[in-house]
Amino acid sequence: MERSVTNMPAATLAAKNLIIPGASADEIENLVAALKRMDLRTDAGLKPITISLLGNVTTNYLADYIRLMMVRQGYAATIKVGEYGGLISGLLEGGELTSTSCDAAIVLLSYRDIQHPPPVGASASHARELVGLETDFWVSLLKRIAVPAAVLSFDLPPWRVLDEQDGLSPGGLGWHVKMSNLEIAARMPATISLVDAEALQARLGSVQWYDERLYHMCKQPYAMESLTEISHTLVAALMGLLGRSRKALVLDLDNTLWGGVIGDDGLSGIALGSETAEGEAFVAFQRYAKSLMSRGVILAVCSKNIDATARSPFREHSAMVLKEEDISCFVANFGDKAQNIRRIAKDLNIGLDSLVFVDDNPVERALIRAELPEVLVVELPEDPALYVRALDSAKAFPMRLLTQEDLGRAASYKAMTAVREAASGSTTDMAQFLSDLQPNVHVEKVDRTSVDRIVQLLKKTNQFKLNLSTFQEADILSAAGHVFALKLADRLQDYGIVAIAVTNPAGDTLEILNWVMSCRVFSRRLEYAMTELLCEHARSLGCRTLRGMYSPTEKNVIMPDILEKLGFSLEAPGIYHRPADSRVEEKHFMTIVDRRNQAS
Amino acid sequence: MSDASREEILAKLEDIFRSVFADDRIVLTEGTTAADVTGWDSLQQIKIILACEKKLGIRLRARDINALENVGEMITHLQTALAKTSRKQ
Repeated sequence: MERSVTNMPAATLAAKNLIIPGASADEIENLVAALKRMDLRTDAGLKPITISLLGNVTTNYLADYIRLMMVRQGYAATIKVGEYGGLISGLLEGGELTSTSCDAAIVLLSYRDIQHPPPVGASASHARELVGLETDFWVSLLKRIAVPAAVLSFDLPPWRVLDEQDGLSPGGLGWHVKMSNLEIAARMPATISLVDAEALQARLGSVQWYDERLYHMCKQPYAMESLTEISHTLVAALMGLLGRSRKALVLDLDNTLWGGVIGDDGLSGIALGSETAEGEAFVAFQRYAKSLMSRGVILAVCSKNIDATARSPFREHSAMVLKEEDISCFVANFGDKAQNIRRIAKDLNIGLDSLVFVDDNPVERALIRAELPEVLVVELPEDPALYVRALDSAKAFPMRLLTQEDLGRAASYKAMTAVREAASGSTTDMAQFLSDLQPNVHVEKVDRTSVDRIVQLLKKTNQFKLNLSTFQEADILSAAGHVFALKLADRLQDYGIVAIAVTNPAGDTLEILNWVMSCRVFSRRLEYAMTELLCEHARSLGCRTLRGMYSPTEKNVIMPDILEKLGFSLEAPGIYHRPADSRVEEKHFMTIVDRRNQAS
Repeated sequence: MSDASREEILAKLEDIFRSVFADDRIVLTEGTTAADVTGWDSLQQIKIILACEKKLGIRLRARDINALENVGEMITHLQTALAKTSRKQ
């Protein structure tokens, strides 16, 4: 029998480094038990967070697992377990989740909570009406949640009164569940991530998902064996909402993107393509990586190879799905991989905690886990046929809504690298380079169509960020006239909305409540254009001064220097101000197009 | 397994308790009750039962579980369940 981890700091450390998927059930159970006895808030390495957990089931066991998964993400979670049966009351006026007494919430729905089940023999139109009633009921409740929330959708019942038709035809309870899930998903605000219970149930298998005996004993429907996957899934969704999704996938090459070693086996010797089962598996993995790229994940290569050799399959092998231009940062040399991964993070201008590393070699994986614990290292199985599943089930890239910016991100990271190269040259080169790009700044209309991106950017940005204040959709929409959302486009590409300033006029001062800019457009001088716009806005309101509150975090240390360059000066600790009538010194070469008054 | 003595079952139970409560210092006797072990509530009781089933290869009935209020009673119960399981095999 495996001994439990009773040494306290060792348990937190083990929890932080827990490999999911990969760790054994015993290992996880022991950690859950060990953490249960600990007060995590005394651990300075963990960020405190309070999460409300609500469902019409016993959530105590799940709470312990969620606590473990949160430690794994660097949080000391205090989990407020709602009363059994308190789901609906928690969502009603004055309920637990309608105030901000917690930082985040997890809500569990189930087919048992269905309010308008179709009676046997219901006509198709009646069944549709019932889905409408169901959806209206839950959407109106869920919309009251005042904090970011992961909401588990309805699961499918473990029995089917109408047999195969139960889930396929109007009138079946299964059909009602599926349709209601789709309708509810379509109507969720951006602050709620609906977690697909049907997909979770399918991954676990209905036997694991639903343990009748346990439900009758203690009102927990899920088998204990399922708690790892359930908590992992819910916490991943929450991480997506909290802007903690990872950004880049760092790929090894030999035996990761193709079978064999390019330096030894040569172009014709590596396994890649539909001729062999192994070759097909690598093609499938590349396809998956390419799809991730299309939805906004940046790809990088980190390989122990001679650069030209490493690039040769990308250039010459017909079965390569990934092309050289798909890789935003390509590092091939015989140096230490930890060193190279640090360099990739630096080149892409993102933190190590935004990286996911995939390598078939267990020694390299162990090295990175030890040297760079911030990097998520995926545990790859031996068989390349299982690579896709391994990466997918690591849930490293949770997302809520796909934005235009996500779709164009990979290309813009490539462009960013080019800009940085130019920026490292002389200043006249830089000016020439920037004006050659013919940049246009669009001051976007702040409305329903842009608000998701605005909220997302305010949340996800770490470096160019004044302070940690975040805003809900409603905050942004109600202050729309004082919110600046800048979109950058140049002759190479459209970056989408990449800078936001939320302001508030107060007497003769225009307060900058927060100001963020995506790291993809650093060195483009967009902050100068924003300063100009803010000054103009201030003057139009009769304000003489711009004022912003800077609160330092680990990541936004660049701000004081930038603010000074923009003409701000320190008034009191953390408070920066700037006269609204003085000119912005540096040229930004941008054409400013105001689109706020255009019909959308 | 069918002839498992009370001492043998007690030793296994002790292992299970130590694991469920993540506490290697737990020592059980036949007279130990829920009041003697910090955190031994109805929810942890279910974890203990599930761990017993796994470790001893038996299946317990839901209605028997709530009746187990002290370690001595648990041992008696597990002994009966073990005997039944071995008769079936």
